[in-house]
Amino acid sequence: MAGAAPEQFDLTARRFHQWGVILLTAIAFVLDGTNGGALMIAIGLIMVVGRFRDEADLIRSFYQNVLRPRGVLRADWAVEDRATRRVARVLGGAAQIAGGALLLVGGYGAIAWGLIGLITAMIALDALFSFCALCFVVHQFQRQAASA
Amino acid sequence: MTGLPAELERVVIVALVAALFVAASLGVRTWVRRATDSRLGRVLAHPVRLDDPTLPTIIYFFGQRCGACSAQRAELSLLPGNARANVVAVDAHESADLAGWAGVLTVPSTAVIDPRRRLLAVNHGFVPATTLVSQIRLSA
Repeated sequence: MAGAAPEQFDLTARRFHQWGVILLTAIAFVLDGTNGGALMIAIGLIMVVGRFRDEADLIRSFYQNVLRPRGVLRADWAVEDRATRRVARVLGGAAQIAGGALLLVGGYGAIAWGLIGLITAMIALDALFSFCALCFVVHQFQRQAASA
Repeated sequence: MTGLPAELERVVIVALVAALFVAASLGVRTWVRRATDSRLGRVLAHPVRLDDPTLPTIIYFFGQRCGACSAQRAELSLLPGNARANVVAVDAHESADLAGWAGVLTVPSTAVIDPRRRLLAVNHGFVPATTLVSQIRLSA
């Protein structure tokens, strides 16, 4: 059963990114309107573009270039599933951009914050408990479909 | 200053939502842990083919179109040689009875059973090999 050592990831970097997104989303909610919408689009872009280019993730870069070298936060290396989180990150970022666009347009605040709130809850579940909400929802949906 | 009360109101909403979310999450987590603990010790009655019945077994539940499942499968293939255990891969949807016996809530999930086919541990979601190794040792 022996093989190559599995790839490890810095869990602190992932959690710092997630809490950063949650904090910025809360600020966007307080600002609301066009300012809140513009901030949500910026957060969504960080999520989506940062999935493909690490340097575009400003939150993670702040941790890696400022906080970790100065010893404010320590790296926590561990094996974890990254493939699903990457998919979820793109989906979540797209939803945040869509929500931000709805806020910019105006008149769709409830829909926009409902959508953004759902994504934020999923991010918080992963940050708090490393729970993949997307995996849970897909499994439960397939189970219900199979039993129907 | 005219906008301040509205902003303060939204700050209060954020604080309340955050508190409710954390409380609900902790409640669900406790419920899942209790539900899982209540299953431990149950004997596996379902027919499962084992390479070596004298060893503990990891039942790996996977699903179709599950990104994390490929990562879990890769992790299982990296179990150290001294972690002697049978590894059985089961489609959670095709074997719904077996998944129900283990209380599987999501995929991937893993269940560890001892050589007497008693349930020792259930992991909901991806777990690293180190966790599985420590659970296999519970059967020793």
